Amino acid sequence: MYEMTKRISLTNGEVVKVFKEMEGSIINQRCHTGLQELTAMGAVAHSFLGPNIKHKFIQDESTGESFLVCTCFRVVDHIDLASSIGCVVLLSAEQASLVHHMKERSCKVVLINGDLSEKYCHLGFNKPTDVRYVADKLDLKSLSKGEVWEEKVLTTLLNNNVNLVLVSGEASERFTQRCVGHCIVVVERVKPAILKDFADTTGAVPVTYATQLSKRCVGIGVDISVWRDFSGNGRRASIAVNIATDHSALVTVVLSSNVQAKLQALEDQFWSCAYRLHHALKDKKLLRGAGMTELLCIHHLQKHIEGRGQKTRGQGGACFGNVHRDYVLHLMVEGWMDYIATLMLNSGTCSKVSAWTTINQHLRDLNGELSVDAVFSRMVLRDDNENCVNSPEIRLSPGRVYDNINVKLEAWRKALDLVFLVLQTDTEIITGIDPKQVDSQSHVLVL
Amino acid sequence: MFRLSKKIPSVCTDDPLSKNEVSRKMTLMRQILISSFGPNGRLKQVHNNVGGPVLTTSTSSSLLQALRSTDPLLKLINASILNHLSRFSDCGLYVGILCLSLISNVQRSGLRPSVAISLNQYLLGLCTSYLKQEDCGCKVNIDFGSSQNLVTLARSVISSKPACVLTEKEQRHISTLVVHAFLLTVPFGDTSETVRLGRIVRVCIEGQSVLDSAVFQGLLVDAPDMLLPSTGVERTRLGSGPFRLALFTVSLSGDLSVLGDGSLEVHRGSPDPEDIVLDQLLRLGEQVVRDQVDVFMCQRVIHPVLQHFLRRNGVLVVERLGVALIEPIVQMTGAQAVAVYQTPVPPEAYGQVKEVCVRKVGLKEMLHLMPCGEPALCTMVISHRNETMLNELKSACQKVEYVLRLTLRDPAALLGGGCTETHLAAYCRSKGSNGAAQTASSMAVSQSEFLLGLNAFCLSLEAVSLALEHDGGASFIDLTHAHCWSVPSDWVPQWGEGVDAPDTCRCGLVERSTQPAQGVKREWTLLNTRYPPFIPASWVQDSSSVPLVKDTNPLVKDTSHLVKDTNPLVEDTSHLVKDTNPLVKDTYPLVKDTNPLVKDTNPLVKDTTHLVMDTTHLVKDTIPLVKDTTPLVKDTNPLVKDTTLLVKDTNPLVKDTSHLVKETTPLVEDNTYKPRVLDSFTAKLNALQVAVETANLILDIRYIIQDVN
Repeated sequence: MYEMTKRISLTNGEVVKVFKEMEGSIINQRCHTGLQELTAMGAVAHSFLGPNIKHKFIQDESTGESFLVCTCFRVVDHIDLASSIGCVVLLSAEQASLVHHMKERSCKVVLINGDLSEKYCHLGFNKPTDVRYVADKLDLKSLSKGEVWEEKVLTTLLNNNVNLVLVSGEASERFTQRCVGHCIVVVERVKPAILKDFADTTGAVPVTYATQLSKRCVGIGVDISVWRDFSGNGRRASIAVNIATDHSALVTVVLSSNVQAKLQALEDQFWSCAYRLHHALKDKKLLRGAGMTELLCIHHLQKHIEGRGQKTRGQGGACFGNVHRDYVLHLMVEGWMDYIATLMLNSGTCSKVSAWTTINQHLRDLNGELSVDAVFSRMVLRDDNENCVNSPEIRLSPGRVYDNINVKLEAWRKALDLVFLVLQTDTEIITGIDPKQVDSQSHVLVL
Repeated sequence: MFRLSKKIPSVCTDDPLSKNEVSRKMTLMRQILISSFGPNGRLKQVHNNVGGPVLTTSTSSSLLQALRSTDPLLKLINASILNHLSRFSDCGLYVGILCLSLISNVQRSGLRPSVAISLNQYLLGLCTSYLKQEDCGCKVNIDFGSSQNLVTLARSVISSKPACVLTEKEQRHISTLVVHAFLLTVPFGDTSETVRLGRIVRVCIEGQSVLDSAVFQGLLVDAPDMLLPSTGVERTRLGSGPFRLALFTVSLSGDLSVLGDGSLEVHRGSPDPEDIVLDQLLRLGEQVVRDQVDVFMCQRVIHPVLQHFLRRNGVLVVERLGVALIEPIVQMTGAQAVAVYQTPVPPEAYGQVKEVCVRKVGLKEMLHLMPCGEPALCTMVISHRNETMLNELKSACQKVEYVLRLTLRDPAALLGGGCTETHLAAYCRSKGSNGAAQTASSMAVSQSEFLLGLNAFCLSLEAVSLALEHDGGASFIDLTHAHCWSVPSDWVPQWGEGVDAPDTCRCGLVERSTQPAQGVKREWTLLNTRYPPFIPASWVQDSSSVPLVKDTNPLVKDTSHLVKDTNPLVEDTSHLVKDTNPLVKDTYPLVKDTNPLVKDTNPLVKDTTHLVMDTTHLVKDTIPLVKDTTPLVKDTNPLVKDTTLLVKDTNPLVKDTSHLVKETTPLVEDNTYKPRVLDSFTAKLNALQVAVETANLILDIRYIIQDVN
């Protein structure tokens, strides 16, 4: 979000075009809701910048829910690198005991795209409410509807020698228990993407109702094995089981932490890390991180401003339409300076004022040659962090911080878009207001 | 118990326009409209008072929906603008600005309403008749053989929406795409009286670059990832060849139909009603499979058991299409949408698609259905980086499509950028002041009243031109062509020499460098000052300005000839049966016509060879025909068939012109001149009438009687 608000900078002709239209005074005066919100968000986003972990504890007062948010990319500590290809799920002890019997033989699987219960209806189906089932005499011996269903499904499963049922929804507890008795493992809440992968690799056809199952819906070639036992004293026993197939595209990463609240944050970090890697491989090039790119941008812009200044002086003025251009470029430079300064401030290396001094110093040094300054980079990185010493990668390679090129460019572009929209807006129109209520407010006009 | 409330007497407002509150509201409305007008207009943030969605826009249609006023006069104006928009979709802000300016100018002039109304009516008549004249100085005829004017027209509409946030390149891309899509919707080779235009289906994708927008022939249908065929069997079935398609609008989810009042009692032992419905659905499935249907589509949900059954039999199943897609599918495939599942599907209800493939659009995978024949239907994928800009772009594209359709009815465009208004104002001033005394006496008004009214009218027209300027710049008018020129605020003009004037006028037609006439210097004056009346010269298309006005692309020109040529060809075929002798003559020019085509156009060569081949057949056929005259009538029949083939064959050729649109744009780029700005003729003409008539109506209102109960 910080990028959205602060990095309003591209050496693009367009920026200039838009800013040209506004005079300085108007920009300052204008503070409609959009701009105010952006400023507020920008202020919050400041503290997210940089590699230092600064968790945000967000609490929803109405529901009492709370969660932890942070942005950083040190996930490696928490990833169990022993994870393997396949899908790792947590099972109860009873089900897991079946797995012990099943290992080292490939088993058959069926996929249910819905709930595994008698009551379940597919999406879009309206259960009729005004149908009553009437019996003329009480028959205590016959089975209930649910029992008939259970019997039918279980028979189908047993007839086809199915050992594993993957369900995208929930499975009824009673039926799961019955399945355990017949050596069938039922796994609930499997994500649809995982179901699709199993469908592709095992040849199983996903069905919505278990009663639809037939021989041709059954997939083969699934290996199931116990991966690790997580049962400890006082906790509900749960055992991690790996379900794998040949040619599967699935990889399970197990994230563990001894603080429960950190788990979600950890997952977010993992994904941001994974996406970074993905984009880096896609782009096949990287930008220098740790503020280096921004520093170069500032340098470039400053040279541009100077060059233009000399040119216009040489011509003797008369270059209409570009009066505000230098001013706008200068604003951009400031935006980037502030970005780097915040980065340094958040690293805890220096105060904001000294950060500005350092940046200016480096900009002067940059004149002429464009070399990566390792010292500068190290200042931006966390120097005083204890973890740093323990992590060999970072200690050995100071200044090796990179950013994704396309992600960064896209962020700049998006920030610009937002700035365009907000700055070009001059009126806020609120509909549905009773005119009598707003008479007292002087800054609102009623149409 | 009855409760009687006392009736409050109605409130009567005398001479509403003179009330302070009313004029304040009108001024506010005018300021809002003026500030959002044109490519540099400011945006408006619209939201409701309880924190609903925020809309950022400068488009008249969305803006006026939000600007609900409590004042009856403003309500009237609002309604007439919205009505105009519903018919012409363009020039909404124009109507509002002109109407409100006219009202305020008439009030300021102190004319009696009745006099002002008759004068406005007279001047409106003067303007419309001038605009309809052939030699009107601000009208540009649109030649459908060239795509340049169409693209300019499209671009003028799109560039006037600043909330789209488009770069030059993106503007060009989008306007070319819209014109391309529009051309695809125009059926070719149809000689019947009524021509039905096709339609453009829009698919919006957020988060992609604008340059990823594209136009596809046929339809793109959203299909969830799980539903897309993944197994090998189904993929191979999606090869080529016409596929039979069934389309249902009724829900096939297996619901019981509504029971009405009361409830249904099911006795133990009797079959479950849900099973009975499912059985019915499966019977339908069996019939469909028996009838060799390849694609099965439903507007709503399909029961998973039925889906499973159909897929197992190799049928491609698509559910939850939504109501918006049903009509395009019907139009494209010729299928009839079936609304019952209890009875067997009649065989004529099946439609056909030529090709089905999975196409990746943005991050989504979509099913691409290709039409069998050539129904004029295409899908336009519009992508933009964020939702606000995407919505604005989508509505802009819709407007362009409508404006382009209007040009089919009236193939003309008006100069944009405010030049039409200054031109019209200058025309009215010169016409009016010439015979002022005579005209005034014929209308039974005094000459001074006439001149006051004239001034008010012309000032209002010029106010629209002035409204395009938002950044404190000045607007000027030149005293030969009466075009509008704008100058940035920080620029000191030196009009004496005319050296520092901008390169072209706002619409880009008149250039500073060209001399209006031999030995005459171009002169300018500020737009809202008085200037001596003169008859504005219409822009003469002299040889020096060829690249700007005329089409630079010989390729497009040729194809336009071709389009024209096919028409006499079709006409000739009707004569064909009657006498065979001129037939041979007729076919020769045909072959001749195609020859220059082969030379000129590389991409067209393939198609033209077909044409030449066919014509040789034609020539061959005619030779025996001439020899023996007895089986004359019989032989001519295949001949006629052949010529119809010929006409059909020219269609792909004509279609290729739509692809040519892409190739013409680089040519346009080569122009060192600024692109012109064009406005829709029909929309603007109507906007002018609506604005003046609404203003007259408002001026005419003496009392407002409001029932406040």
